[in-house]
Amino acid sequence: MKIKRSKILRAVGLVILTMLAGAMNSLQADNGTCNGGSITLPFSDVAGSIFFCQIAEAYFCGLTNGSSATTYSPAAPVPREQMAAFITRTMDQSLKRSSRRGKLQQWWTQKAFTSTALTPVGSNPGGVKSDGKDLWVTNGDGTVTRIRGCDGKVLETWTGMIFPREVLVANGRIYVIGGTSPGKLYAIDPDQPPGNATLLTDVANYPAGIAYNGEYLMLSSFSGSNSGGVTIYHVPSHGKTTVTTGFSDPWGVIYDGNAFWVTDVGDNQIKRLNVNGQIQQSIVLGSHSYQPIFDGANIWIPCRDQNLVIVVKASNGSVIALLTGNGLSGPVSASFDGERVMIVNNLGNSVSLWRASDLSPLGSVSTGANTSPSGVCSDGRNFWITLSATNKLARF
Amino acid sequence: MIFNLKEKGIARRAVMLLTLIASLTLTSTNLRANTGSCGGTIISVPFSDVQSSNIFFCAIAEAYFSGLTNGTTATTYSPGDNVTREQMAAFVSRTLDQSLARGSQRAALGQWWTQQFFSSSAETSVGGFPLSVKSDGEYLWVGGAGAVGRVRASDGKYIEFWTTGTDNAADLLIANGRIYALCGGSPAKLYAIDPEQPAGNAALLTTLPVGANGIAYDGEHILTANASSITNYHVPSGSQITYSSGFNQPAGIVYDGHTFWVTDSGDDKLKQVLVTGQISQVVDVGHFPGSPVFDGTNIWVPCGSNQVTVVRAATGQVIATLTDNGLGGSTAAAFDGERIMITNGTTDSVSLWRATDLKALGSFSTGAGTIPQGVCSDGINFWVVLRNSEKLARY
Repeated sequence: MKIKRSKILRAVGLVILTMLAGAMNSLQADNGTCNGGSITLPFSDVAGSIFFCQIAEAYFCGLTNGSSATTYSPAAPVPREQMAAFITRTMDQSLKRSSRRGKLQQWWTQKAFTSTALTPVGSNPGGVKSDGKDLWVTNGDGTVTRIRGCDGKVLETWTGMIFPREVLVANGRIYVIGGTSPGKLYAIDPDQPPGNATLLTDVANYPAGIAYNGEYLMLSSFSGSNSGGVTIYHVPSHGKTTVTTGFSDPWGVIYDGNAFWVTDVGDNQIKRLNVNGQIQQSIVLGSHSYQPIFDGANIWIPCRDQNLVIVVKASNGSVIALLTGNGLSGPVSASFDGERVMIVNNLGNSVSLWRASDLSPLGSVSTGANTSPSGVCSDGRNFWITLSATNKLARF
Repeated sequence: MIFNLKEKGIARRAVMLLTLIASLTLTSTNLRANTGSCGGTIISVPFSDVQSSNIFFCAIAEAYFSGLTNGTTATTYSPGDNVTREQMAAFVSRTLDQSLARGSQRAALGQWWTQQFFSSSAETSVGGFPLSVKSDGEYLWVGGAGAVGRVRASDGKYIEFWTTGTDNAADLLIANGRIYALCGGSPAKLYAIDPEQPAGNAALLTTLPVGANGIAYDGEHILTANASSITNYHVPSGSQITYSSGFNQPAGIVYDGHTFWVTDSGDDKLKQVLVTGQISQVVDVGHFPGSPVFDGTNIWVPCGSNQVTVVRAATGQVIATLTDNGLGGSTAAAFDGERIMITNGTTDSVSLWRATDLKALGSFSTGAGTIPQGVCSDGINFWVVLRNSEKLARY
């Protein structure tokens, strides 16, 4: 093919013009129309993209920063490393914006417990759970205190229980376990004027934990003599069975949406159970692992004697992290608020906080000398911690 | 490009052939949706190139069912293709929007509407020249002339009020089991209400420099924006320090999880402020900036000059300047997880935006002569203080 020289010159001229236009483009941001409004982006290479409006949204929300300050590189493939950044930023931003704290503009992380955020409860408080509005606290003196979440006011005191330990809110009832022999399962009807709780049934001796799967309550019983087990209570029929095979001294129990998990302080394991109480999987832990928590993907297990938190992936039981430091000192219980996990340090009189999505430590905060923090829960806005030595419920 | 006649004819025939092939292919693949088992349930997706044996079959199905993807065509997903960055932007922004829409309290309550008017049946009379409002999650606290009122959010019932002498509560903060009321005047005063106690007099915590307008908290320090300074009040110890260097006329203040930001209506700036009073960054915003709000990424600064400046908190970069959408003498802002509401003091209205894509959702009259001031969200409703009609309006 024969090409005239003038044509080549014209082609070269065109290329130079194009390059100049490109240089000018980098100085000017791209405009587009989204939802009827005019939008300007700092990227010079996204005009005309059918995804212009989505690129704009991703930029506005901080899901992307562009491939440079002035380019987005819309046609470039996304390597898996960029993909990880995109999806984790998206999850974090989704959680942040949808949290109750965000909606109330409570963007702070509390740096100290204040005396103004303490509510007096009964003596030697232990377990605490939120019903969405009110907190329910078990006290060692045989009572359960109901506290209004918005302002910490004591509303009611329920009576007639022996050593109430843990509490669970479901089916319009407040279930309370009595840590005695035989163990007790009580129910409180929060519609009724406060009075004595109703005894539902006796369970295996000295129950320490309670969890629910939508039909069955699973109660873990700590014998102190390697002869503990679990009691499975069928809520609709009131039927119950007790299983001891494979258990030593169970303490904490949680339900992860698929299975129950029980920590066993007798043989230092966490055990995944089916609804019949049969052990499906066992994972070795540190010693004295009490109350774990599930965050939607992982189970966080505080190990008191090692000042350690073990994070286990619930779907397969693999240990994904061993957390130390961050003020851990005799950790015994845990709670999750949608974004953060709080671990209660019973021996160190403090709490330790982590961001649940990337396991980054957020610091530890003292609950005060000789307070013996024990149980913890979240109501989506605050964490609430029982201080068993000072008979208080603390709001964080 | 110009075809000669012969080329035109060939081109026409080629286009017809391609159309025929495409439509035939489409018809046949339409019939070939793929079926697989996910979580014990048999499901079908319309994509002929996603086999049930694909290890991501169930994830692709979920992304399709939830509207996170539409496929590359109506009948293909192209599972082996690379994702381009422009496609990625669509994936992540749709995922964010869907997470927020589904995770909101309004979704759980079936409240998918966007209110198009203020209803008189959703107003609570609060009296006393109200200026500010904040939610504790269950009750609204309304600051006004010499009093802070408490309104139950579930039904809008006025419950009780606490007195702050003759001082007007310009802004409120709820933290540490207390309702902090910042009252203007000379000197300004910071009061605390213990909401567990029977209603009565609010406790005076401290006095502050004249003209305190805004209050924010970082978990340990309360910062107030005063007429010509800011004050750092250390909650655990009760000590305080005032800083005036670099400030002209602070108007509003917000904490973004890392630092404080103060709007300065004396020089039309947004100033990033450390607890030590140092200004670490200065951003140009519109004239007469008011009370800003943070949405998890950006700070929205309502300006009296009928504009809203949107600033990226991580960098201080102005990412958008919003005008129109009914803005008029804008003073205050609130965020409900998905939407931003701005109050317009001179046009008696509020303006609403979707926070993720900055889409204007319209403006709505609060009634002639009402003068909307403070606004907050409790996660279900926005609550707007109507200064002149002495009401709290639920939106």
